[in-house]
Amino acid sequence: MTDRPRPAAKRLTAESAEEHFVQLVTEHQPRIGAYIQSLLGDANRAADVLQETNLVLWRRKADYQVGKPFLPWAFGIARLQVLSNLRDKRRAPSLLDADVAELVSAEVETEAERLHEIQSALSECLSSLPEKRRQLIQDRYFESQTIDQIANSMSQGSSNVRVTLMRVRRQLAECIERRLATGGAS
Amino acid sequence: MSSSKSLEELLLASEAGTLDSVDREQLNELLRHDPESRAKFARWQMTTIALQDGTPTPLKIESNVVAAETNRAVWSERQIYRWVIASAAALLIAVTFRWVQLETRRSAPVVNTSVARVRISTDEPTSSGIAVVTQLVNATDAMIQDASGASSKSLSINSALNPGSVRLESGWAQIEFLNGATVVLHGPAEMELVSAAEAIMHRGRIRAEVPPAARGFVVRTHDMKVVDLGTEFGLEVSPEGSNVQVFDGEVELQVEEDRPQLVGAGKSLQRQTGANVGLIDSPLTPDRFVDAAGLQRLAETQQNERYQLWREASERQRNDPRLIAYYAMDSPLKGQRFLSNDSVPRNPDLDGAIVGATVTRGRWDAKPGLQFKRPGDRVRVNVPGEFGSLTMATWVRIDSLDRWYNSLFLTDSYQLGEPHWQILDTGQLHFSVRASTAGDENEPSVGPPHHVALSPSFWNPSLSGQWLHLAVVYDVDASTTTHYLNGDVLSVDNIPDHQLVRTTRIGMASIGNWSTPLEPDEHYAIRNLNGSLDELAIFAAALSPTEIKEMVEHGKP
Repeated sequence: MTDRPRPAAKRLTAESAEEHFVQLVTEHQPRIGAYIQSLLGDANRAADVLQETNLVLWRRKADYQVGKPFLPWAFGIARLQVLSNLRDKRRAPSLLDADVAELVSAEVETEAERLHEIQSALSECLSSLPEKRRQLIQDRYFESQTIDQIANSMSQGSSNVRVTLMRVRRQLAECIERRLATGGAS
Repeated sequence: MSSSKSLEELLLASEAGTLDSVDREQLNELLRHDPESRAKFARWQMTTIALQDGTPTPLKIESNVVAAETNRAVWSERQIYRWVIASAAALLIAVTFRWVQLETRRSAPVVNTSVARVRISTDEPTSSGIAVVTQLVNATDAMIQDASGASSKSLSINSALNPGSVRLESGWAQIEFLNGATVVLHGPAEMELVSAAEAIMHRGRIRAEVPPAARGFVVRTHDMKVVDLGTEFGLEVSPEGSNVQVFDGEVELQVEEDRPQLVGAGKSLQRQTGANVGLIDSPLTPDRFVDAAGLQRLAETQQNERYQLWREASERQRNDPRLIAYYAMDSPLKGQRFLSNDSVPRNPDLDGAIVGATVTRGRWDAKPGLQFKRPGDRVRVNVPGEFGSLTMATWVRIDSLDRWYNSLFLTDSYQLGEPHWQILDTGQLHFSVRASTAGDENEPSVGPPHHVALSPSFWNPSLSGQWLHLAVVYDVDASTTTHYLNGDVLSVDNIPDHQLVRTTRIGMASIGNWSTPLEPDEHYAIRNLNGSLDELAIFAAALSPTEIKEMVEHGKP
């Protein structure tokens, strides 16, 4: 240990409550983002609402009681932001009507809470897919190609690709379901 | 509502941007009235997000729709505007920054395992191979090079052989062709495996036993072709030419096309030297050819030597102060339902309780092992204390990987600092240490639950029944997890800082299985190993690659 004063460290201690809050927001950012995007069904719009949500979370940080589960509180705030976005008449209609978004929000919350479990189940499920199917997922979701682009490069019809994609998604969904049910979290 | 679409069709269309207003109405109606669809919807959306996770770019939508969406530019201005507001709260920028960092770090291994590594599978599991190695005695430099010559690997007992060239510098290798012929190869030798019923001898000696079921087994040399008609024969190929000796039954010998010649028991022939075509008698020397029974005796001698070598190494290892627990499985296990911990000084509290698992042959005839077959089979242990780095090493014989998770060593619960070591059905080793506290109601969970170190797939069914050495080193100081197979590094995985757990714990745990149902009617995931274990060591330290290699050298069957 040196005798040199360490102002930076001191400031951290003084702001430790805020630090803690920031840490919570940071850690749960992927889940909150996923929650919002699931309800909105549009990545650009979701990025917007996530920013708004972060602002509101920050403004209302005094309402958050340390020690209480953070996520349900944050989801509650995010939900209100999503609903007001959906009810905004100036915007183009989104995927869901506001009343439907409210109905599915509980399910979406459950799924968003275990986003990481779903991600690790998914990575295992992907590696067990046959090569062609895995490639299709990679083209569509990792490389974000359109269905038409994929259809062209495979010299197939778009409707063919769409049907295959739906089958693969179904297969992945079943696989994830099973992994989660068998305690895939470990 | 003439043609109603399924929920999946609707969601896929939504992702592609091809959802029209009728579809949209249908989707909302479906979700409004059907709770099951709501659950499906939530799962689908989350999976889509998880799939996009590796890349921050939103899904591209079909071009015609993009054209219609003219207000895109307005959106980005809006976003910029919000960013300006957001930057007023300076901390929030830090939030986003840190999020990006965390995200990139965390998602890297996910992408790595799902994209970079390609696993080809078909609906029905398949295996390949035309022959199996059933004995190796004093073998040195026993290798097989595949038919293309591109890769070569060491022979090991029970390994399946594909077409290719087998080389052996010295010692003996017994190879059983899938058609039923057994060949003992005498080093130095080189034999090319062509099919389940055909081989080409390039140099060296073989003794072949061909039971009636395997009649028609063919061995070619550069100057003749031997078709076995149910017999036992020896063949020696040297620069001077080939020499065939028939010990039993008869063989058909061809030195010229279309002129086969039958050769009976007690005959020894070789091809005439020079330009003349034809065969001449040669002296019969059966003692130059070891048969399967003779090889078995040699093998037993060698086994005994190997077993003794392992025992000496095992005695030394028992005194290693870094050992947490050591189950050598060398005491007679028959009739005994506890598994003694062999670390010195002896601590009987670390003895395991054998549940269901049966005693079986270990790596050598003289040494037992434990077989895990049924969902309940396991060894229960209780290992108190707190540790830092960990090393686990075991000899395992996998019969098949038929569970999603096939256990090697798992703690009962999965709390902060507890390790889980298992094999996925994809043949990948899976090691993780729980990095966060459990989802306690009163405590917000901090960060992702763990970091999984996944190895590339090391398993395929042709390895079934082989004794393999598996080890994992969880190195706290280097922030790495290293998987080993037979003393070689399979993968090194960097653990992100926020998922590195410096204090590890074991507590109640199971060898070869996972957890017990806490309530009488509770269901539990079936994770038992389908195979056998012979020796398991757990160290409270990160062993070096050299030390892992030595364990394999001293312990290989």
